[in-house]
Amino acid sequence: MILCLGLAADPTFVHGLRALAAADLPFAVVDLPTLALYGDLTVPLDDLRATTVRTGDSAGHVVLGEVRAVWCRPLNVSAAAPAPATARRADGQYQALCRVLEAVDLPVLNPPWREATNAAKLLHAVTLAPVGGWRIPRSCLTNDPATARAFVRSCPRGTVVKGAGAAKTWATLFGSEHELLLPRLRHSPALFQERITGPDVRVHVVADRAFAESVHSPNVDYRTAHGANRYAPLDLPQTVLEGCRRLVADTRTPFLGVDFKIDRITGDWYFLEANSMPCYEGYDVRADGAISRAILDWLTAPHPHGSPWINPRSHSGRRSSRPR
Amino acid sequence: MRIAVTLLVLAPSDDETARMFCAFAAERGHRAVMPQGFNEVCVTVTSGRDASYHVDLRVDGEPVRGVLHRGIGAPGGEDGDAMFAHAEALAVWWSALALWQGPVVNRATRQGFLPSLDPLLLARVPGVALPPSSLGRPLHAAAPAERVNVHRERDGMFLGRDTEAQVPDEILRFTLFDPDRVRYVLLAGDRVFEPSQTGGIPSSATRSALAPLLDRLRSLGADFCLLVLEPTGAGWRLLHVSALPTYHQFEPVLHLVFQALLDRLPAGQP
Repeated sequence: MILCLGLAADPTFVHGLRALAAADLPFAVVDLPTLALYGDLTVPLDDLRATTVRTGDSAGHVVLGEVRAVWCRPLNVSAAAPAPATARRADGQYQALCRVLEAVDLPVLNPPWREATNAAKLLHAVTLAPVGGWRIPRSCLTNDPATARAFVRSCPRGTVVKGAGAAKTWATLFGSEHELLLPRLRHSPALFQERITGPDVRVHVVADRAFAESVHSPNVDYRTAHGANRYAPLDLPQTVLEGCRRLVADTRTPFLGVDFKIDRITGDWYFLEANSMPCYEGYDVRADGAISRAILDWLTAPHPHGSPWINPRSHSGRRSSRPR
Repeated sequence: MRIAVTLLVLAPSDDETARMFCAFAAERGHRAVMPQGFNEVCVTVTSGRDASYHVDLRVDGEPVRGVLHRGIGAPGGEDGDAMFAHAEALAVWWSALALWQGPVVNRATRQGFLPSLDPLLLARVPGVALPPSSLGRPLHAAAPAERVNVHRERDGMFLGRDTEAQVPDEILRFTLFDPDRVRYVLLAGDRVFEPSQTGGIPSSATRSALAPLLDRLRSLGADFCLLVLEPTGAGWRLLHVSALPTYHQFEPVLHLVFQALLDRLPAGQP
């Protein structure tokens, strides 16, 4: 049985559940808001496999030691709880589940705190790009208006401005209207990056399998151009594919959504980020379910004790994750 | 002759331990600044296409020479703007303190903004085990001297002992140990203290037994942390580790600890 932890209101989670049902695989679902409202969680910390989740709905309860693998997209839902008591329970359950999923000796796709640098974009980029062997756009994270102004002037093809962290912000092309806003940096830094003009690429990597699409958009941030983007499957260059495989091995997260830009003039690839909780359903539909099949294959494959996916060796930061 | 330098102490405004460290450094002629907003410090992280990077930290134009990192506290409110501002501040400091070329006590790392010290994972170090403990389900003392300690899981707050500490609508962590046997060991820079011992120094046997755990903590970037331990016949039970020790936990050796922290930073160098 596969244990699925997430939110019924998360379209990506629902998409994954549909794939499990269509494949006729046994699974149990824990909807985290339902767990906070009506369910219960007990964790013997010296025997994590005896962890019991009472789901709070008709599914009853799940013992971790009885599941084959865990598929999770956890979010801390405490901020949206209807009452303070429920918020406290949701927060406590989220923290506890993330600790357990990091430490338990089971295949987990993905341990929620393992790729921690996603919360700090520039650290994330300079840490992971060398693993893949990739370039990144020249970047400047600063609260100094003069430094920002000088960086903008050093980017002849334009500068993109975005938030420094995991909270969703739109990548925006720096224009003359932003000059007046630069003094505000003194109170809140921002991340500036040289503009790379060309298509975006999203690669979904499941262990050693990868599925790539190029995204041609009229907008700087393709996520803002609803209905106007052109998506096309893409054969990955071997070096990029090998880099993606190294990245999942290095981060010990079996499923990543890796973002690139391709310079239209030079053809050079630039690494942007790797999302450990990607919203992949649209890409999966266009790929005729190939990403889902790879995820299900991973969840049902034997993972020997001591494989990089289980029996973790290191620690992760405590934070709230957001899907991207 | 020590050379006065500028130190950055990253800590929330109500961190009394951080303020005392600043005063200690000032008494020795150094400038230790505890900024409470980005307008009090200049932070720049730049990177090239080859992922090479450089970090510049300045206070009033003066380059920072060392950092004591104690986090940025909780968001200033529960509204969306406050949460966003907090997430952005965390991202900036995380990048800066992980990549900065200078010395940082409790350096941010790829694994966490503050050193992530979950006993669940640290108990894999040889000679270290977890005590009987549970989340969500109360434990009951197996021996007369044992007490059930109750913590709140969502923030680790200690609520008390035994059944009177239990509160509804919280995920509680129950830990079983004998309070009379508990030992507190403090890692500060290159030094190890045991504040309750005479002179504040642990025995060589204790230091030797804990060496693998202390090495593991240092490898995680933790060089200022408090360990709560219970010795057993076969080794040690790790009850708790905090990367944010507070002064009352090491008052008997306060100045020795602060000096050990200064020694990790250029301010401690002759």
